[in-house]
Amino acid sequence: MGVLTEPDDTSRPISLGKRALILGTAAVAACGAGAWGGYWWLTRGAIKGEEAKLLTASFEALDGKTTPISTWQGKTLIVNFWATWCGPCREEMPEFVKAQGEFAAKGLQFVGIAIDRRAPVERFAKELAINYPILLGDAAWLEAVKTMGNPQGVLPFTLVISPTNEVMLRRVGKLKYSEIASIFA
Amino acid sequence: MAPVVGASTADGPLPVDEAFPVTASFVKGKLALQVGVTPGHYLYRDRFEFRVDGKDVGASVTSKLARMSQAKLKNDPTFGKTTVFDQSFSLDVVTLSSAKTELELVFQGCSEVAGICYPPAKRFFTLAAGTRNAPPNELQPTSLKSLFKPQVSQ
Repeated sequence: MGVLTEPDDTSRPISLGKRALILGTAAVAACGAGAWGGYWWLTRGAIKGEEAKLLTASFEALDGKTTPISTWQGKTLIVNFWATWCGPCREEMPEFVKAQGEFAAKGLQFVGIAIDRRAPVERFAKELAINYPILLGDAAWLEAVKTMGNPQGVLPFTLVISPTNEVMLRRVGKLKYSEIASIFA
Repeated sequence: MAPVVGASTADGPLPVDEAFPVTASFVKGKLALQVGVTPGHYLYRDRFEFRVDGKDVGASVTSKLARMSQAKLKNDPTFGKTTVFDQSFSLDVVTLSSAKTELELVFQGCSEVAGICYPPAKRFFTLAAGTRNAPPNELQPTSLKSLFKPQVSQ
């Protein structure tokens, strides 16, 4: 489509088997534009700054409990920032539900952070039968994600973080099931 | 498919003010907005908010929006048919009477080509006392800040 180009190898998610190749490499970055359902880019590297704060942050969950992200320490964590007012966000989430069911046994843990009001989030979560935790984030996170590889603070935005807290993927725009599956290949 | 010019930069989605450049003008007592929509982007009609000196004037303005020929129906997988603007348009917002007036505008849109949505953005335009006519671009936003407002999230 138009200005979009095929992604190169460095812009694909890294499988857990290949992860050792990048461990210890600080701020290794690879940017590209791809045609997998829209514009995207990603970078890889050591977790730092706002991303590190994210891992120690707590959010209100839909059940009303304050839940720290560290709850899922040791998992392959996919943190997806989204909102019900974001069409592309809603469109990709059925694939997240499928991936969570498929790869939970391999250590995958999705966490959705909704920059939104509780009521529409609850409705959508119920409608989609979301099988992973949905947390409620405030507007400040739209500023925070600007330093995580999402300079315009747009949604959806997704981070894939390894069990050892390495950033495996940063995605502005949609993330596909096939890309998630490749992480566990 | 033909290339979409200006749809996004090489490094990611456009900044919101490049995706949706908004200017205001004041001619013959009327404050008007020129709302730009870069190709490959769209604005939700129902996410606009308008306040003049803090007073909500959205009801009168949105009725004008509803009649605009640029409005198009978009099939949203969750919300069904939703009215959007994917082309630039101009809009008379309000007839002014006070010496100094501030227009507060909230809008929200997405990039079709980038597959992303921008958070709701708020912009202010101030008309100084004594101004009779001001062409587009002379009434620049007095402050540029984006924020999320829960009441416009749906």
